[in-house]
Amino acid sequence: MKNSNDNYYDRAFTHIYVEKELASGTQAKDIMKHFPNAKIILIDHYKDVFNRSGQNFHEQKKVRNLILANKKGKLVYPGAQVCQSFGNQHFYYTSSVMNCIYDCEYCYLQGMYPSANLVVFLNLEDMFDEVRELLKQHPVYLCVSYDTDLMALESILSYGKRWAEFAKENEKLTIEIRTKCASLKAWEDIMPSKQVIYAFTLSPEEVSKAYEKRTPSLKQRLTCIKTLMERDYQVRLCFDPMLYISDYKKIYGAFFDEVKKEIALNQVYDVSIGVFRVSEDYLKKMRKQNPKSAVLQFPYENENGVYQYQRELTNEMLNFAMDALKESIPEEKIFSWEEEKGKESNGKKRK
Amino acid sequence: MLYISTALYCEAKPIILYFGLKKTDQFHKFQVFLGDDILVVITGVGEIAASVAISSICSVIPPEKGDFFLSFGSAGTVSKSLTLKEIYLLNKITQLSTNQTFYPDVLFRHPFREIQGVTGSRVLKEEIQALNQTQEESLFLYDMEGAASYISASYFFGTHQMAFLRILSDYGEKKDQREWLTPNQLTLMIEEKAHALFPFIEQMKEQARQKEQLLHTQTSEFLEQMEQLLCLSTSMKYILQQHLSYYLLLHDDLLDIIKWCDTHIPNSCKSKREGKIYFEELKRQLL
Repeated sequence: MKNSNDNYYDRAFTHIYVEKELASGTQAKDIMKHFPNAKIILIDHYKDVFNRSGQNFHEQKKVRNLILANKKGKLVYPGAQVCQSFGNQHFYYTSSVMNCIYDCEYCYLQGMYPSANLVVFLNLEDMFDEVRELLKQHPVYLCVSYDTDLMALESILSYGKRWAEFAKENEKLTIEIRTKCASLKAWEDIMPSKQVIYAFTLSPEEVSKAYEKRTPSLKQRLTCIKTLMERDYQVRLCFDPMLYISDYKKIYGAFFDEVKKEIALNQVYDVSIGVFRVSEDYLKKMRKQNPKSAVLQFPYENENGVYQYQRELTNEMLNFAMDALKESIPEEKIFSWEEEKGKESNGKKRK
Repeated sequence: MLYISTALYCEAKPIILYFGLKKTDQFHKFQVFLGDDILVVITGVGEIAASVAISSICSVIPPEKGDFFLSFGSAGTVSKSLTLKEIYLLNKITQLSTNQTFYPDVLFRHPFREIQGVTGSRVLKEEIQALNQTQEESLFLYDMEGAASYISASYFFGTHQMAFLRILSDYGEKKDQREWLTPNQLTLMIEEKAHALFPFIEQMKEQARQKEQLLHTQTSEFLEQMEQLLCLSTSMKYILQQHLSYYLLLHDDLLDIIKWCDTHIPNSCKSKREGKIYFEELKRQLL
């Protein structure tokens, strides 16, 4: 629903829902301190609010609220089919936070979660315990910021720091923290580590402006990346998802040139490329909630339950990206989801 | 449209007068008042009455996608720290009989203090013991319709399309009915808060007026024409509809595409196979 009156919607985080058993704890109180004017509503279980029927993700996204909870049951999951393993055999992910403060029009979270409210799980230690158990069996490659942007929340949660410290204690653990955050302050208390990869999603400024609301500009992201690399942090660049827009070759061409000009690509940890793709069930929900989104209403093709661009177009876009990047970075460091899917996660790269 | 429910006529009276609503004789079991994009139903007291009235109204006049629901009425409390005659917005509603709790979204700006609501089936005085045993939080308003209104309305409205306002009318201490507020007193109490209540209702009404209509008439006609012309199957029609939806987000109308079809697509296709060739070509044009 489009609103002609901007005064209708309230600011974000005006309400914090807290599980009763956590409300008096230090962790919850520390987080709540960041929102002194928020109304605190006590709840029995986070799902009582998060899983209500009849919620509208798109509407809630305009005024996200916060839910503080403890996560029970399984806490670490094997990596999903639509995610890149980057050649790691033991690929897992975990969600210490559900949902993101940014508002990207193409984001799969709109189809995955019933609510746009942010859920912060306070029992990070339980997640560490589960990872420790996995580490007894084999090395672990763990993505901790898939369903959120932990670095964008660092000033409130410090979860990036806690995950980095946990990795330091466990040498067989490699962590990926995916982000669009460009505030160097978020890294202030985090030591650089070979075991922690900061995966920055990059898009042309035109795409970012149109489809990545509330995110830092391309220029800000590039400046942040450059500084982090100078300080020895491991950086991965994710040109994913690439979106099919009119003049995409011109726009993405100029974008790759700018990235190459600003960043020494041969010094990044690796690079991933991918086009927009989303599961059938998610896209159905996303389209219903946001019928005015050109990105979501694009007539994608359904290939084994995953909606994506027509095969020819997918290949054309990926080849375009590959051609633009391969002169600046060895091809074996360029990972493409298109090549990985359907194969075992065995480290094969796009040729 | 904004749907408003109140238990009593005296609670709705100021709204009816202010918005110039007219009683409709379409409904015989409850009083219903209609006006420009606004509907008020007087449900009667209690959870069952509220449920029945809201469900009936919404079944006969089904809400559209952008419509809103407002439950308004009086409430009591056991907490003396809450101010009499103040309007509160409920951000959490617990049903005393089931101990189920509901959370309406509060996405909109509003001038009211927020509070938890508890809904019971008897008047406050008779429920005090049960409330003391079950309610951990001391600040709450007590009413007899809130939870049922939420449950019934949620069949027709999203969590972000509902709001629950209560005016605090008493502390539940009155010994017998003679000491209760008269309908006139309650109406006056609400009128005193008109400066906060009416702008809020106006705001919800305005919000409900914003409607979406993605697939307009021109598109439906074009789609039907192509279905016949190109011998489209159901799935092909769906694919073409998706292409048209996408095209219309990038262009104002279908005029260029219609022109293109006039020159590139014949008036009839000899076979499904021929139709498919033109269908593929049309899809490319729409991207």
